Amino acid sequence: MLWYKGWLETRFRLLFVLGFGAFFVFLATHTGNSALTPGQRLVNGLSTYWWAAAVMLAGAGIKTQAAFQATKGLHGSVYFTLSLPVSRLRLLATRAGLGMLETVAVIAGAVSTVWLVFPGLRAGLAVWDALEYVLVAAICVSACYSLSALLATFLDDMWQFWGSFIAIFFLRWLSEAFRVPPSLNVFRAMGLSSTLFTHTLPWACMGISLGAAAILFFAAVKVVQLREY
Amino acid sequence: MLFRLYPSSGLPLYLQLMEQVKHAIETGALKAGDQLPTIRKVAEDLVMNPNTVVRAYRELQHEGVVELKHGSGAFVSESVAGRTRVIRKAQTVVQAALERLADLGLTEDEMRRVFDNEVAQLRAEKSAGRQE
Amino acid sequence: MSDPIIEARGLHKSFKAQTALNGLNLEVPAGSIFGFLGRNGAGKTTTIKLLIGLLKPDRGDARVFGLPCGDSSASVEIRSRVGFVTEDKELYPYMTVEQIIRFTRAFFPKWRPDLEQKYLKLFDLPPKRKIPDLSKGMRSKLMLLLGISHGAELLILDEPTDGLDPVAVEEMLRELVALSASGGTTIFFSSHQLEEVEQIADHVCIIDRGAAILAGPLDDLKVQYQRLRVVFGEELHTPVHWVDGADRVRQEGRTVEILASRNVEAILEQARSLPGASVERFPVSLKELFLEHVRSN
Repeated sequence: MLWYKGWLETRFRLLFVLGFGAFFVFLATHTGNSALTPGQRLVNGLSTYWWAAAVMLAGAGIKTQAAFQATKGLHGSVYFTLSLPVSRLRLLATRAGLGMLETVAVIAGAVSTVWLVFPGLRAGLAVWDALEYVLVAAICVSACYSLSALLATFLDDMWQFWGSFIAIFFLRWLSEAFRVPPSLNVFRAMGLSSTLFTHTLPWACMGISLGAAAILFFAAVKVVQLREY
Repeated sequence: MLFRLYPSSGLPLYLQLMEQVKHAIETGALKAGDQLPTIRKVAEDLVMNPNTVVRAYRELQHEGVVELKHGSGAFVSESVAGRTRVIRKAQTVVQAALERLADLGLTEDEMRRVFDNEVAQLRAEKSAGRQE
Repeated sequence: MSDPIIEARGLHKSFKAQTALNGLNLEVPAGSIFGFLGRNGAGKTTTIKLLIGLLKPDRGDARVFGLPCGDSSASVEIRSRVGFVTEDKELYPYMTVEQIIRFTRAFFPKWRPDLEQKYLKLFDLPPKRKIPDLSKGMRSKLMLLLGISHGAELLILDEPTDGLDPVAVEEMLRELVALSASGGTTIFFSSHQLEEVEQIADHVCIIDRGAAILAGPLDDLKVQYQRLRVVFGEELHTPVHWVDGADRVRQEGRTVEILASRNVEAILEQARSLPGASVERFPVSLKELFLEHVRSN
């Protein structure tokens, strides 16, 4: 039932994110570095879209109230939720799990759509390659998702969104500025250095992302358990 | 069964209910052997606490006005028949006294005040007597 | 005498610079209808939140069903046996009445569909209406339905009649009384509607500035407290030193009003022994008790 509740809370946001994706794809294919092939530009653009989608789906997003929000923006129904005989861990895990599933769905959906709509960009890749990419992108974006989910446990609607956005944007900029090698660059692993081009799984990046995601989730659990409502 | 309670009057509700039951017996609305309504019915009809009803019924049993038969409910004691006769006699006494007060020219309110005052005096004397 | 279903000792809770609870003690007997009274900001909602596990006390101990409220897993157990109506009665705005019933039902294996149907009809709640379209009073009834239907042994209600018209108030009070009479459900409710509390509560606790200033069985308090009015033949020039138990004494001209908390007979005797005094005694309503204690706190 918590999944059902979460779904009712996030379905319109999911729709918005999917719609937003179309805009991103358009941007990515028509702008960007002209030195790159159209396929590379698209994947590069999509890598940004993946974490933007994760941020939006992890937290308060645009309109509806999240399960856990800072005091200022708290919706009264949170008292009802917390009065149910459910541990706070389970409440958070369900909500975070649903958001992550939606993020994966967005990635899978976008990739499938591009695959079907732009056959010219397939560049000799097989369906298996596309599926592999979806898996890798999902794992690499999980850290961004977790960060956004953590911020959602104690920040207000807008603060959480912009805070996550700016933090991740900054981290990405740092990764470029410090020329983090592609084997360790989680962002690149979703974009230009993805398996679509390298044809090797970026194990280190996946490990880093999952590790960071786990730590951030653990932190989020602690915040939620200690918070007063 | 029409009981009427006044929760904000300050008088404990269990005492008020006891009064109402006794009054019903005195006026003949309840006769010896009659069954009182169940605790649940009284609580729901009067929208009052069932524990308070229980207390009232228990006190009435303690005073011998009512008998609580395990499993079947509360019944008006047979012994009240005697009390009812005494109350009838009392009514005659008061009727005569009131006629005399009316002859003296007292209004009904004045009669009631004089009566209340004398009852209060009587109560005070009784308790003072007990303390000695 | 069984253990109290709710027990709190020396509860302290502060928020930033403000003290919400300052050594609160509370004892709620099982099967009672308990009225928790206090002014706005006295600490009623804070106490209730502590019992439900939304907050943890800074100091002190609170137990429900003998389980510690501050322990997370014990709190889950407590919540599975308690029905709760929150202060602002907010529920999910994207759900309808029947959706939230279906949602809540999933968390309680001992759900009573017969009670659900009964109260749905009794409270006249339209199943397909969206929750934001319900009035506050109807949301209150809905929350009460959810609590009753999961077979709660204890109902903790934060101002349950807030927003209800007099007819609906009477209806809700009747249902609470019926619950108490049939299943022995304990009802703990906070209110500042003294008449309602006076009507159905058998125990009360008055909280002011985070501490209990008066508590006990309501009928006993009414027997214990008496108001005495002494009228003198002429104005007193020397103030009378009243015996123990004459808690609040007010003098106006030739009339002295005393609120006695005990020793009533001794005070009466003392009053009658004074020259030219006539004495009357009056019962004390809950409103008077409340105002007297809160004002002088």
